[in-house]
Amino acid sequence: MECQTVREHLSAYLDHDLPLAMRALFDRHLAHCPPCRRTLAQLQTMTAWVRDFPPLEPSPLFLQQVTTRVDHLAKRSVPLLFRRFFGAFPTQMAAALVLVVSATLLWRMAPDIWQEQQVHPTVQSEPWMSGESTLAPTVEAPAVEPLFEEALPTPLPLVQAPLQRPAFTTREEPLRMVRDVSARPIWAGLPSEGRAGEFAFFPSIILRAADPVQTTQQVWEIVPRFGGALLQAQGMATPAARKARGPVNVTFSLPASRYQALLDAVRQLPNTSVAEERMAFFGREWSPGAAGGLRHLNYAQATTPPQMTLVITILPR
Amino acid sequence: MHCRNGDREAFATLVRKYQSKVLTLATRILDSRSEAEDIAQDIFVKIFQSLHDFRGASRFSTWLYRIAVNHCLNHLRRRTRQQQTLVMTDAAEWTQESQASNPYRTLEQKERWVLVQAKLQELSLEHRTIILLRDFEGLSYDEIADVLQLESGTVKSRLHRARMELKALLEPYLAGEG
Repeated sequence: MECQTVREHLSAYLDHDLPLAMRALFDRHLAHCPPCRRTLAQLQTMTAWVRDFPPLEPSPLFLQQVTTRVDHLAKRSVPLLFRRFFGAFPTQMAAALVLVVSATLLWRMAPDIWQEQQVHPTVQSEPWMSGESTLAPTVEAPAVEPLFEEALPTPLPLVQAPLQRPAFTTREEPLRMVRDVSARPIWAGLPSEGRAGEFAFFPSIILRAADPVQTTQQVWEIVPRFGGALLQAQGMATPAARKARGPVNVTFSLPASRYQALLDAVRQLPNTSVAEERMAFFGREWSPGAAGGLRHLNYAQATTPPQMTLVITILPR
Repeated sequence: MHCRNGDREAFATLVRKYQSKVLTLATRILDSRSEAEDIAQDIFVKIFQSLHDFRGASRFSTWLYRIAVNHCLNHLRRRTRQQQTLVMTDAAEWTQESQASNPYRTLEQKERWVLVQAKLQELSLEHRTIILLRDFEGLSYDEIADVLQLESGTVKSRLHRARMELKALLEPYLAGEG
């Protein structure tokens, strides 16, 4: 057996990982080869030195600090059961979320449709209903609004502000997550390398304004400058709501990369202050192990700027 | 299982059991005692959050090491990427602590710890990690493969290369051996 072959397998020999027959060959070679024996001895000494590292004890407050953080997290986090359910059915939950948003949008659009229907309530499409006929009376279409109203459950607002107890993970947790994903919220981080986990951020901002309706209009005007689009408005659709000057909710879609810029612009609005920033966090953290060992997931490689949904609530001062 | 059900006391027991191992491993990888303490906290919080993902396919300790190692490596890469100021090697710090815990340690031994730690830092992250998992933590090849998500054959070849590289770095100090 050659020295080169022996040295290539010395590490395995050291760990007793060679088949018995091969180990016997190694033993014979080592007995007659001082250089290989010296290399083996050096490896043994070196591994002993590494093994000899002293174990370190954390500070006395370590356990308390960890449990405090965990308790804090648990109080502010999504309930465990919900997380488990979401973890098991991420796609289904995402689909359900889309359905809820769509249903809410429909609900908000519905009054306009009904109003249009009430302007032209009589159906004139059938010949027998024309004025010339005397056999069939002209009937007015039944009012559909109550039926429709009963059929649809009242959708819950996406954000009920101000919340006494946040329903989702808020400020501290998302900030920590944000630090992990290139300092900005990322919609469903899906880098080119595959599954990085299923999580999504839903930021919401609560503003205090002297005139919520005016501020809403200003927000409405600046959002398109950042590539955003209005999805839904609530609280200023009717004259009565505008007159009441109550809370207004507006929901936008926005490129995640422009979120900070928009927030900075909102801060500049006159007679308006940012009372609170919230970040709802759905899903579970990505698992580096499952995503391919030690490979680094570069979120900056995401090809298209991910869109996210931003809810802004404007409260009267 | 109790931890997975949200039992805080069971989780505290888990932290007590593994805190020293996690902290020591993090210190060796990061080469910073103070930084490692924060990272070790992060690791346990992450473990708490991920407990419901643990399916029992591997040993719990292996699963825990996987999270710990990945968290350390991610942190280190982020630190490198952000080009933060060089973190000073605070080997002396942990040496002092060890001295306090065992006054009978010889000066030679402490110097050796500093030396080996310094040479470990000259290795690549992958080589440093695999040596620590094998020679310091005593994990088997299969467990290392599980932690690092590598093939068993890759573990063997990488470990061999890492050891030979460290041996070359320590050659002047090992000259008297054999």
